[in-house]
Amino acid sequence: MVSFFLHRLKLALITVFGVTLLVFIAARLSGDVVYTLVDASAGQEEIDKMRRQLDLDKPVWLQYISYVGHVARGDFGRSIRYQRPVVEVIAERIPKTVQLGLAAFAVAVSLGISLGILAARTRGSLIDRAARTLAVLAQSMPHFWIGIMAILIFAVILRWLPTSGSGTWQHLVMPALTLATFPMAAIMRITRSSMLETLDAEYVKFLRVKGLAERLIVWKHALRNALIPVVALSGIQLGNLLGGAVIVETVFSWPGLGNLMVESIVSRDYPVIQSGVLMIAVFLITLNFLVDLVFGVIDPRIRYN
Amino acid sequence: MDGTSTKDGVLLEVRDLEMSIFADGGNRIVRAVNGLSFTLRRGRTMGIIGESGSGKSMTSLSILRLLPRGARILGGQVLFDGRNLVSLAERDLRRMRGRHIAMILQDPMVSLDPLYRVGDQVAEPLRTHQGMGGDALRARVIELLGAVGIPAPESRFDQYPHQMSGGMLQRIVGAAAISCGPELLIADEPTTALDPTVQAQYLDLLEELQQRTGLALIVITHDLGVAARLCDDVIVMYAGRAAEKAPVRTLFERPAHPYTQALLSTLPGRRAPDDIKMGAHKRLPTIEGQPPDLAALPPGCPFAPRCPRADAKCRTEMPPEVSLATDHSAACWYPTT
Repeated sequence: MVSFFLHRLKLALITVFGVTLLVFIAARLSGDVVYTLVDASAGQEEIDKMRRQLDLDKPVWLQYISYVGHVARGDFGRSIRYQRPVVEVIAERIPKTVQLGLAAFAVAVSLGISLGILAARTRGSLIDRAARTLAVLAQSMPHFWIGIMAILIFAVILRWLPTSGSGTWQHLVMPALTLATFPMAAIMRITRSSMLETLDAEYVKFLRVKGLAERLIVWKHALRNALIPVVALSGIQLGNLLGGAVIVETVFSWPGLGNLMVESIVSRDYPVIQSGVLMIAVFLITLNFLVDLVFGVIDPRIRYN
Repeated sequence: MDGTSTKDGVLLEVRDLEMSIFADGGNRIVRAVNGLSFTLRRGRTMGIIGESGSGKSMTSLSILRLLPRGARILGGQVLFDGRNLVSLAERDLRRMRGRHIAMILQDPMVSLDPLYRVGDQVAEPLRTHQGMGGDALRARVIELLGAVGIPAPESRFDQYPHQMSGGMLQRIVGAAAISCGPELLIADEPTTALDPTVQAQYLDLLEELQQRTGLALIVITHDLGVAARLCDDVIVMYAGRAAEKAPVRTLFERPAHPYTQALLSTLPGRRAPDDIKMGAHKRLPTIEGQPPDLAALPPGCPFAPRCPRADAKCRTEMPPEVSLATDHSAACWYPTT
């Protein structure tokens, strides 16, 4: 277990290192932040002064080394746009994204798994076909389209829900459901196929031979076996939710991390972009590790010892 | 045997069983079992032998009514202890499975749920059918594991299937099957997936279990050696029908059906009767031709296309089951007598 953990930690550090390097360069390729900060009439002297202030006058590789050094000491720098520590700027956005992400994930997992089981158990029926059609539709429509349609129907025409913003639970409904569509469909489809495969397995036949009740066969044995690929996919989908959140938060003006990242990219706020991506990378790596631990709980064949 | 057991009583009677599988939305009808009848007495062993696709496994699944998708029993009866399993309600049938009729599947490596401890899987029928639980259940399972020849059964209880060998798993499956003391045990190719050295041990175990508990056995196999070793009576199946039924000695000494004769002559060291045409003389002999497509059976005898004795009558008219001696019959127009 310890060696497994250390091995994963080593891989994680390499990944994080690669991510910081990529983002550092990509952020600088998006354009020069200095020109967004000085007047259009500013002279070269003023521009150079601003560049020196921001420590952007040195070669990029020196900037990177200095950045890594600071990060290693826990200093993530100051936001150019907000003129406050990056940690503060990001920290105040995290709860909103966590709220949105968890709500969407809960909807996606609970609906996806139950619809998947229902479809598998009624294979070939109208319910099964309807669920599969719904899944294909949900996976085919992009988030921004679903979001805009939802705003049009539920906020503008029906006036049931607020168009955007945050504050009450009503504000959460549309963004969460919009964000949930894709992972829900993906989880439903894999649950269905995995459940069908499991129900055809020889050990399920032997459970029937033993005279066990169908309820026990489906919920105790088949479901647990069928969940192994579902857990793997759900972990990936939870990661993808962050990507989706960038779009959904923008469509619904949800003041979360995704929204912050878009703003920061537009205003070339390098320190915020770098730290935001770094945080997302660490989150995804942790998530993958947790998924691996969940495997061990479900499946005795992959316990790490 | 204790004096009260009705050793000669009929336990299972299968009458004119017909089972078909409807594939491609009903466009293709595979006639897997076609009018099969046989009788099994308590404590006896019946062998069902035949090639792949001859309907032997489908027969055993039909008895327990655990049919593959699209399969339906179209006619006949399966009388177990006088009750017709074909028309029994699913609920009542479930109470029979694992309790009165048990079954061992072909491949022990995939017969157990990989996520649960083997002890718990042996315990399930006892929990379901006899309401056992707690320490008594654990003790009983350990006793059963010992009875099927598993060394140190206490320590094996908490292991998972992936921690055991195939031979060991087949014993676990056997323990689960006999846990509730069934009157009938169906073994579908019980040794096919095992190493040769383990096969003989497992056959010993089956024999020993039968002697100890007095259960009746149906052994489904394509291995004539297994049939000779274990069975009292044998049914040779071909294209979903019984080609020949006989006590095991009679079958090996005086086979009447040309298919049985051809089958026996494929054994090393045996010679075909002069009128049976066999292929590949320099190697082990084989029966020429292919078994018929069960979705397009010919009108007459299904073996006619491969049979040296077949004439026009064989190709157009289905031969009836002809009784040749007590317990010996063959479905052939021209059986060897």
